[in-house]
Amino acid sequence: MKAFLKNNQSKSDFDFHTQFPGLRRDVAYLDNAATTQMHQSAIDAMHAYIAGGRSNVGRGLYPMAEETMRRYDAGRSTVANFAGVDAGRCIFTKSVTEGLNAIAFGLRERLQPGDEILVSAFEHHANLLSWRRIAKERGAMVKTMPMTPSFTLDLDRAKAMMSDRTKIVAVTMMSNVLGTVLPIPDLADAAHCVGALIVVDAAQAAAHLPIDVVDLGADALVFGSHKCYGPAGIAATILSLDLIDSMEPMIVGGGMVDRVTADGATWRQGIEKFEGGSPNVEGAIGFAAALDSIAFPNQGLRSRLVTDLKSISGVTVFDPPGAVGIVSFTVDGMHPHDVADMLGQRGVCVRAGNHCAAPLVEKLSSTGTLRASLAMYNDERDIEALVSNLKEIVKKAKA
Amino acid sequence: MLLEYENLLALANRQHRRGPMVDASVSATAVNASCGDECTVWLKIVDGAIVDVSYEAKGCVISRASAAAIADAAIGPIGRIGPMSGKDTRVLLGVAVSPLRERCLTTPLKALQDAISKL
Ligand SMILES: Cc1ncc(COP(=O)(O)O)c(C=O)c1O
Repeated sequence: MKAFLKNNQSKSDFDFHTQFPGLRRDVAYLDNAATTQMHQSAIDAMHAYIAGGRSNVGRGLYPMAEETMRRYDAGRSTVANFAGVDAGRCIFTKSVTEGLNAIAFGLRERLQPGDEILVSAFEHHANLLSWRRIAKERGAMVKTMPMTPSFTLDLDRAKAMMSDRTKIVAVTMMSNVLGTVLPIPDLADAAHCVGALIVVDAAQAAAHLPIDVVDLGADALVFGSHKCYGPAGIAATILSLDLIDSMEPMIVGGGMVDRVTADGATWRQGIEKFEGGSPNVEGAIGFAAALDSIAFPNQGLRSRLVTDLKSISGVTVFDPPGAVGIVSFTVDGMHPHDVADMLGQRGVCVRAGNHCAAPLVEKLSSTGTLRASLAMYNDERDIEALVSNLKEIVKKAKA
Repeated sequence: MLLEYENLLALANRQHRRGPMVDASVSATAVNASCGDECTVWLKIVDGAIVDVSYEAKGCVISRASAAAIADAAIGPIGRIGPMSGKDTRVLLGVAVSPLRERCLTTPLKALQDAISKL
């Protein structure tokens, strides 16, 4: 965000095709909720590090290794600051999925038979299956906080579900299917009132909304690089200091041990405990550079997209109040995969199916939905490309 | 590719050979969870040969068109069915599909092969 404000330029002043070399002029890329195109600054930062001589971190004692350590630490600070915390609370994992699994693994010993984990109706499988597995192992239960008929979280019912049996509330901040924004601060207050922890999946939110962990009241929050214009293969897991002290690491091995004896080992303190194995240094450097350049997508664009899609006869649009960045829709009588395939042939990239959120999508449509998702570089032309091609496809199918 | 794809619509929507067969010798259903495709085939077998086929298919255009093409191609000695592969289905339809949609193409073939294996 800063890079844009610093130069005092509006978004339209930028030629996004130079900022994002992966953007193709013949393609309307509207699958940003899956992965965004990479920002040039991330490419440059990784290139400078790799081409300038790389090394492992935390192992070598020569100057080049020290320089790598400095860059890696600086990357961690930038990523942590983006989420409103300092570097001592930020762990790097390979993906949001791995981060959520690591949290579930680390918390499993806190669960007793009869305890409850609350998830929402909006969860991506990453924030559902990880909890189901530990619940099964510990004799605990996963319960779902429901959705209202207008596709938002039913906060009253969610709060009513919380009791002293609730140990963990694991919830997405923004639906990857509908763009619905969940009221994290309210859920955090309610969870803390019953003594539960709140774990936030910010995989989508990070590219669309401020994710200040302290303001949100989250005990743990995870977001990844590749949906925020950075490289794939790296994500940030932000934990409270208490969780950093008390959680068991999921991955053990080199880099995270303090002492290894003939038949035992002790872990390092702090975040190092959670980073077994050689870390993704170039990923951390690219992730940080991308976050330094991030801007949120233009909200007017989503409204325009919704209005234009609704104007096509036979198209049903799911438009929860307050949603950002993502729109799901269906076309009467047409399978979403067919429509996505035909749009793809015409240079429009959208996703179709259950979007790794099957329990939610089954409530919307038996065959899945089409999903258009926006990024900072999308503009009216992308919307026009989607809408005009969709109109043509629908017309031909009816003929 | 574009034109071919849209040409599949006619085949997918064809009514010929549609619906259950009351005096079928065998039937089987196959599903493709990723698209929600479902295909059932009914076969009438006489002296080791498929003499009549009907089917019901729901799901995406590729799977429904593939079901129609497979139903036509199935008529003949049952020994031909076992060795058929996704490649044969692609040739029948005259389309290339992305690897992600290979299952759409082959679900009707799987229903046909499952039916034969019940005999
Ligand atoms: C809400 C949400 N959570 C988790 C994930 C998983 O992210 P990753 O595939 O980077 O692990 C995604 C990615 O699609 C997502 O949208």
